[in-house]
Amino acid sequence: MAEIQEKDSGGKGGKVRSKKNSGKPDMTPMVDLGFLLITFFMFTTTFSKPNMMKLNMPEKDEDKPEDQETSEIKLSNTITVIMGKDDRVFWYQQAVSDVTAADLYETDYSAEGIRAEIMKKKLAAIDSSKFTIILKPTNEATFKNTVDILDEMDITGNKLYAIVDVQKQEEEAYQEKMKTPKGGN
Amino acid sequence: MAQVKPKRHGPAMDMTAMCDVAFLLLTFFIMTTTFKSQETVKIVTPSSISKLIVEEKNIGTVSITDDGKYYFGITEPMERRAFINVLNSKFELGLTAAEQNEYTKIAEVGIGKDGIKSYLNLSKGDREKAKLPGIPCDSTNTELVDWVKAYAESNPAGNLAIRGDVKTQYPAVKILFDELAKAKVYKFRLVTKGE
Repeated sequence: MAEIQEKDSGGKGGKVRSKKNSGKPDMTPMVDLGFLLITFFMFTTTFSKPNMMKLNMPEKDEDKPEDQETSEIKLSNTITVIMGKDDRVFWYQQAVSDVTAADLYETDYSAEGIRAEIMKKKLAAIDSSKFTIILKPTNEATFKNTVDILDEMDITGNKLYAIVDVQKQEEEAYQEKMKTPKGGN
Repeated sequence: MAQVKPKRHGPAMDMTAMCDVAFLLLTFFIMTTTFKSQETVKIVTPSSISKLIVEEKNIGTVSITDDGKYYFGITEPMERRAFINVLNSKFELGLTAAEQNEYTKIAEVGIGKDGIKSYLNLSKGDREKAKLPGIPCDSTNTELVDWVKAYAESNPAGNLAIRGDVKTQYPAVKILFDELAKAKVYKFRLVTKGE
């Protein structure tokens, strides 16, 4: 209680006097209750609502073979990003059919890594409005890698990108490249 | 010399202002709160810079655990009833009204059509302890796609969200994308958390 009763000094004649009510109710229990409920709501509330990113996958047409994707686009107008094991990431600018381990350049998911690389290639592109990024997560990549790289698409503002499966030639080059230790080029 | 006698104050404090503040905050928290829903499965979503907030309504979520199991859930409990109705009649699961009612209380289900009836009959405590196999989705059995289709049927305005764990391996995601692409579902939302 916030109010401590003071002792009556004197007390003449031992007359029982009704205690004067000041007209103010004691608010202390109410405050207690208020803060108790606040604490409860603070602990049960979820502040960070999950975010989301929209993703549209390319429509699959089963009648047509898929390996024509790069044939119409000029090579310098594209960059292929391969996401590998242990958060390793590689990029190359080559025709899919003749990519080798030597063509793969390793980088990382930081701002100076893949983002800088994409920006550089975009500036060097013949037609930067049609600059296309091809994302190829390998079987060893994680969902986080996919989200990270889609984030980069958002940051670099490149609207043209697609998630495509890794092809045999790339798989071989990737496996070869994975034998080198992380960070080495 | 007239001594200035300080006025005797009892150690009383006026609590009214404090009370006002407490209840103001309380009101704020009551208004803004959304309770944490009981999660069937623990999933740590990766972070992204995306500012879009996941809708509360018209969203069906496929969750992929770190060991590649699929779970399906609907955020809004009102939509669950329509969904289980469709699923029940479409695949003749023979669920009673009580079992369907039980389903509307569950945020996420990780068991296929074969096991759902017995799963719904478990008590709440047993259900939490039960080891779930996940909804099958591979090249031989694409049951998850049926669930997604049933959801689209029960709620034409519904969207599909994919919630993967940080450690989920890509093949699990790829199978899902591929199977959904065969069912002509191309638009997804990937659930992440803000940075």
